[in-house]
Amino acid sequence: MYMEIRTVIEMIQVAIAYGFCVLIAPYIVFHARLKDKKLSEKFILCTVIGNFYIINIVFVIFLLHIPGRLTLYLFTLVPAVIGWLKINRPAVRQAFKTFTTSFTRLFLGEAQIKSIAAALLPTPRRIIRGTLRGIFSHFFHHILEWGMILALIGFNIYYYGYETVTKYIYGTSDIIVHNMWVNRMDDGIIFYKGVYPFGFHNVIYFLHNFCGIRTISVFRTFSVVQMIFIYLMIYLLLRRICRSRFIPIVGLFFFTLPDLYDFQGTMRYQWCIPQEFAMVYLYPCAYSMIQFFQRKRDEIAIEKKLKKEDKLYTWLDLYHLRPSTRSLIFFSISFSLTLACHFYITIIAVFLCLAVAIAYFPIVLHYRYFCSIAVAGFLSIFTAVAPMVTAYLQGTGLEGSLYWAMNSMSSGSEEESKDTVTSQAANEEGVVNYSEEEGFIVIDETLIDKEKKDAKKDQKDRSELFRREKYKDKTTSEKVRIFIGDLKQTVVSVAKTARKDLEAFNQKIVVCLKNVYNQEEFCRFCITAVEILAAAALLLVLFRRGFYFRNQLAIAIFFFFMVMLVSTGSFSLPSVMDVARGRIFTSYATPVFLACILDFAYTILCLPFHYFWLTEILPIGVGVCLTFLTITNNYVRPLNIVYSLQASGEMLCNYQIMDSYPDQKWTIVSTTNSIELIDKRGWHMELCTFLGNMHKLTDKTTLTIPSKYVFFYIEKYPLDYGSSGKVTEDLKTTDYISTDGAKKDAAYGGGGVYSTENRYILESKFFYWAKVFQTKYPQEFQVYYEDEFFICYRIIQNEYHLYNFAIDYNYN
Amino acid sequence: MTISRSNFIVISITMAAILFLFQFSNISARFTSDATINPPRKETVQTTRSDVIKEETLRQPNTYTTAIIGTEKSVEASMAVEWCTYLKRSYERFLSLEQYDDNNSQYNQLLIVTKNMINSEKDVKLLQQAAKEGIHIIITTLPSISRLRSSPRLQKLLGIKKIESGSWNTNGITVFDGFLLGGKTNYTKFKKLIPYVRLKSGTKTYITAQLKEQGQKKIKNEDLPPVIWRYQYENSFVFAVNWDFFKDHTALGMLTSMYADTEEYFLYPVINAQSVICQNYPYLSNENETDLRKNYYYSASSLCKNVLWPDITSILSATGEKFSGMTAPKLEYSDSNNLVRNDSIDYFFKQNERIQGELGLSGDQVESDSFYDVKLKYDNNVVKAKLPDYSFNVFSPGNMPEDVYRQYLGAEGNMLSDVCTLVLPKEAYNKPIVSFFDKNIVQMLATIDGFSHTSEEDIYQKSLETALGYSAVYLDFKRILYPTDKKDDWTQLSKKLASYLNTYWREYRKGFQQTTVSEADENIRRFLALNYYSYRQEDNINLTITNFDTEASFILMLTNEEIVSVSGGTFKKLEKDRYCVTATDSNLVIHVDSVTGVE
Repeated sequence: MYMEIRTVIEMIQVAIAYGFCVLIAPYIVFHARLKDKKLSEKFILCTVIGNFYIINIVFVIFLLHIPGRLTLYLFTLVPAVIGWLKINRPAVRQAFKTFTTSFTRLFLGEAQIKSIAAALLPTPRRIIRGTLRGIFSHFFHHILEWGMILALIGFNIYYYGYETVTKYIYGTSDIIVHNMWVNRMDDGIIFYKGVYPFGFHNVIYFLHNFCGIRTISVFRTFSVVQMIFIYLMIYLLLRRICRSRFIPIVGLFFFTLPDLYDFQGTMRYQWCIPQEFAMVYLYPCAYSMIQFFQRKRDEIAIEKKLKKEDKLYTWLDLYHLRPSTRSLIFFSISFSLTLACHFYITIIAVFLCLAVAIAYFPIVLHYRYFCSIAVAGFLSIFTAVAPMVTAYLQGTGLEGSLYWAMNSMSSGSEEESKDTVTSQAANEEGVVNYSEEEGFIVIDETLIDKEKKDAKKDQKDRSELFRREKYKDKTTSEKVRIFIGDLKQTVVSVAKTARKDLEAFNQKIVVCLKNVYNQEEFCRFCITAVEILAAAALLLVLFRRGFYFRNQLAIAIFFFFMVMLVSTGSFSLPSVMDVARGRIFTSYATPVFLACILDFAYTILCLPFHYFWLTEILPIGVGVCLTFLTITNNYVRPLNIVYSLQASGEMLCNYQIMDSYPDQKWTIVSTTNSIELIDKRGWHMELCTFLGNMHKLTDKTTLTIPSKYVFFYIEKYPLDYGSSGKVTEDLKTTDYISTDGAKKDAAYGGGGVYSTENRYILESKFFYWAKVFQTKYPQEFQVYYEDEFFICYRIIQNEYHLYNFAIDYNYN
Repeated sequence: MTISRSNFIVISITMAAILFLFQFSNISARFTSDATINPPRKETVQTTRSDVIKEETLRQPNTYTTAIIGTEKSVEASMAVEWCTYLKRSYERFLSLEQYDDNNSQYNQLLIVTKNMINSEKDVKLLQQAAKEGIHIIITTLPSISRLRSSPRLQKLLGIKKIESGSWNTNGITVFDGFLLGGKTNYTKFKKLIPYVRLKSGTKTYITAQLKEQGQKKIKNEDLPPVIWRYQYENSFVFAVNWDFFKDHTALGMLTSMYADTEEYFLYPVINAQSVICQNYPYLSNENETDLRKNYYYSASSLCKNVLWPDITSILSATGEKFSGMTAPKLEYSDSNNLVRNDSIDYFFKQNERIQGELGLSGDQVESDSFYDVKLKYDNNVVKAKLPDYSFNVFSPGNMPEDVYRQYLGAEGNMLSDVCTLVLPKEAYNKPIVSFFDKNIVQMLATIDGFSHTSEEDIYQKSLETALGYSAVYLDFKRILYPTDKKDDWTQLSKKLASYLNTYWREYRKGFQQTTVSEADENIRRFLALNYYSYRQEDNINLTITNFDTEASFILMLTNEEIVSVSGGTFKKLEKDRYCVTATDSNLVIHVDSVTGVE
């Protein structure tokens, strides 16, 4: 229970630290500017400002080559305090004045402490009381909303925190790499393996160094915190778009409770990795963009009106920055944050912006809109790319995964054409090909299309001949009658053909969407719904001046893009990203889209009622019914999977050792999983190096480890490395170590040295080495920790006379 | 300004009250002083020789747990016997390994093989057989190099990989942490020729030699000549000693530490007494005035009162040691002019009472052997007359021959009749550290000269602290009162004394009691009398003590564990994994827990 409780505590610590840095601190600094805004807007703005500030402060200190805790504190606090003083100047000045006056009076003997306290205390008391009252009052006034949101977030904390709390290991191998990069940042090296979007790493580095939380703890627990933000962004965007107050919560529900999505579409949220972290900024882009359009329209209208009245100066004087410009700035920041954290999110953000732009056509082409957006786009890209370009110019190359990402994007079409060629023979009848190994569905109908084209051409030639024959020797009135008849027939046939084509199109997409959703019916529903929503919204855009339907249209288009993202293979379109990644974004877009559908229906249905509080019964009822149905039909999302990468006992030992032993005084002998976790705290010797050294034992073989304490991590059930299993079950392992395993020849180096089979052999050898060594040093070589799967031995060495660990253990 | 009558009366009464209060304590102390009264201790002493577990009792030819292989005159074997006596281990002595082979005990756990006892391959085979049977082996002196070279089997048994050299000049030794109490120590002045061997993996080295040429020849620490090491052979551990530690009581601690390393835990009784004995001090006469005036500008009497006493008390109070003075009434018994001074008696006995010290009697004198009888008779007549109610319970004969004082000890009507404790100087190495002199009198050996601290003395002291938790620092003031060279100057000696007590005993004070000689005597009697049995149940170590008297002390050696609580006693931590446990009940339960971090 020790690690479980500790994990929960660390999770709370990380949540408080991150929450303070990106919510509370920005709110304090920008209090004067934010105090009148809505809570949802405050939340989004603070999150964006806070993260932007943290990420760029870290970039600045690294690019100036002055990384360190002191500089981090200085560069963080000084601008923040100056900003706070400047932004809140009247209030701060007043407080300072009261403070100095009171103390002057105290020292001059004009007043007593009591009266000074009476003068000074009311302000903080008022602030605290006001804040608490504000929080409670807001909570009680919106208790139903809060209750529903907290319940959904609570479920997600359970869902995504389950692995973190019960297994307390790194969930995916990527984290080790990111951990290493953050560790190198601690050494003063940013972009260790080359230029890479380091925004996420900067945040982890900041939390570690500024708040004093261990990197390993942040990596283990931050996933739950970032997940809360990712989920809340869905709600906040929907709050902006939807007319109903409760439909955004229903939207959140769609991404929380029902088992709609393929498990791979949501599993990554349980891990602390850059792509998922960057998703926090995706919807703020749309939020700001939509806000920009609304504000800009209002501004133009007011400007026109005031111009007419010749009072424009009064309005211009009111703002240094116009509200629309502010929205654009926040759009720039959000967009730049996506780019600063992960390129894939930027791609999705581009789709999102494109969707909004299409929806706002032709307004978007108006020079006053277009120029602003163009400048904002340029600035956002510049802001995000500047640190990376600076590093690149300073001589740091690009990181390998960037080449991989670009290759996978460019090679997507190549792979497709390759697939097409290979599948032609198999799919001559247009049979859908399902690859179980890859888990994706690929359709190739190029041949069928060609045949269809030929048939169409023949048919066209034949109908032309037939038409000429038909009009031959006919009077004008007869010709007109025949023409009308033909026209009717043509319209009907075109409509029929269009319907058929649409059905075929939908069918293709449905097949692809099976990679994203669990149910085919749901796939079908989604594609039909998006078409309906797009068509209806487009229609209503033409009749309504408000931006509501444009926003609906934007979401429909965005969702359509996301659907196409996973369906490019079916339409011979260039692949932007692989389906495995694409489905994460399609899944993430789904709740927004579903909520928009509901809200659209709500808007239409409740139009006569003018959307007052009673009409909210409808979405509440829908939400309650859906929840009820989900639970009663046992359709609640089951817990996700976990990868076998590291034994839980190993993580527990890492923590205990780091807590209990002085830095640099201990060494761990294990596989590679713990290397980065214990970085700078202790030393590490790889298992294959350790056993390899005594592989061919002679009298001269000496193997010493120069540290006082040495720990040996042995997996009694070696992990089936990289395989996955249910998170509720034990990690996937191979059999219990055995003499048969120990007898086999092992590889002591190379890429797959810790892969399943070799790992089994190595761990078996290691176990029997430990047994023999224990007979030689029964008192000294002790079991430090043991559970069903894992055992850790400890030996305390005389540093002046080290043990020779090279022994004959019968399986050398 | 005038003072009213009533004010005058009040001021006068106040001043009188203050005067009375200040003087009262001194005056009352003088009237109530018992400085010259000391009842005989032997009436209260309960444990006598008949109550203790003797060597003879522990010698059990058929059920021994320790076999000692050595000749009858072997000092190493005697040390092993003494060690068994203190640990209450049953033992049997054998003159050869063959003899041992003929008389095996099924309870045997330990085989101590002394010098020159491995003479043939057959002996080696016997040792191998013992190792197979799970009997741990301690070879107190490494066999000769020719013997080693000629027997690969013996090399294998001892874990020797290679014999580098038959004789190598060492520059000192390093005793590693966790072996003897006191932690890691480098002794740089231990120069000796020893065989240089290299050890196999699977060995653990406790002491290594230092080599002058280590840096030059780039010899790794692990390849330095081993002095004491352990090798796991078959089912037991074989310990080998490549030094002459077993020539004296240094062997006791070595044996304890080696044997402790074969057990999961090791709990054994100790004396738990740290004493400082001032031989020939207080000094009650005023002899050798000319010499002393030349050196100190003081007479002997003044020197003792005005220089030595303040220095001694301040040094002892700084270190928390208790004062045990062995009074020398006179040192020149041919000189009839300088008699025992009443003012000296008055001064020292009262000062002693004030610091709650103890006064015994010294047997030293500076003249020929024929004067020992004169001394004893003089002391009996003069001192006894001056201190009729004072019983001297402690006698330190110094250089007085045993046959002289033996006839007086316990004999009625003389000064030594009440003696319960004999303090012998360290030179008496052929005697046990603590034992019974006769039926009632305990004899205890001083363990170190307080004005000296060489490497040999340090390792000897550490060994005794490890084995017995015992030290008796011996300060002979005769060399100050009768100086022979500059080294006997008190200014130098007092500095040495202060620094030695401050430095070398600092660690032991944490866990062991600081006692007067009589208090140490009590602890020794309890130590010699008790027997014990301990066993472990998971994290609880149970100890049952028989012949238990009020309290008993033990040392508990653990490996990476710590004591959490003790029921039926108390405990103090000596150092990592080492605890001094004091039992206040005959049944004791020690709860231990593993240490997950660094202590």
